[in-house]
Amino acid sequence: MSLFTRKLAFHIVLPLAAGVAIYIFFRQNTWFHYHFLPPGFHPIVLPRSPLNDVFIFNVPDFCWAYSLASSLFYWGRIDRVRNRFFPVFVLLLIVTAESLQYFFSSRFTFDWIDLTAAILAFLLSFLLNGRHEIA
Amino acid sequence: MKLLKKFIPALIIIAFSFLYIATSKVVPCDDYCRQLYRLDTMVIKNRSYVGYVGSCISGKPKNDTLCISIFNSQGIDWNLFADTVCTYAAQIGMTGQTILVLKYGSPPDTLAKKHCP
Repeated sequence: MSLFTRKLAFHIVLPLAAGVAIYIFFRQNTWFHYHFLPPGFHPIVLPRSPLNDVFIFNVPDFCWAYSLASSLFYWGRIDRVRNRFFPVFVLLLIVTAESLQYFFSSRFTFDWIDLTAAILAFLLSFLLNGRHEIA
Repeated sequence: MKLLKKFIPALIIIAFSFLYIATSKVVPCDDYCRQLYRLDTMVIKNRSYVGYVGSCISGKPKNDTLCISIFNSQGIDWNLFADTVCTYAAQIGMTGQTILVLKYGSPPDTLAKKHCP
């Protein structure tokens, strides 16, 4: 496996898989569980604590945002995107996705911690994968 | 090939959007669901040993059996605890429920079972 493929796996596939795994195995009674998993499926129950809540509810959003930002930065690297506003576009995309939940509150749940986690994920991905795009 | 490359970001965004919607969409919360949330809040308050209050069957929120997962089962009268949960349930209009108090584990141990009036 080439270094590039390993980086793709580490920065895109792994965080995405981790986020989905936390969502499937630790969240309770979600739309995804309701529609895609068998009724007898029992997620793992963690003791109630602020730290566990962050793990269950915010880490998957962080992983999703990190993976999305990384995949766009890697595409930018492959396609030699040299637009200095490209990282701004990626940030706007992530912030918009999180913020849209505020306007569709009957179907989604907006959370400031989710938004913060998504912005932190973008920053981390930018530092690790996206900085050379604005050269 | 060049044209295909232009579609890659769109494909990335569509794939991530699908995953995002699938994992962010919430099950519409009806009256029963709201009652469950209220009961959960009442039972959890000041009881760190309670992990989960809700439907016993994941994905089928509406049924008349409630499961309560317990982490630390020592030193508590679980029948009395189930009575207390029944009282809370009655206060918010949830009658005729069966309360299952379960010690968390695989398989879970039943600590108490109570049919609320």
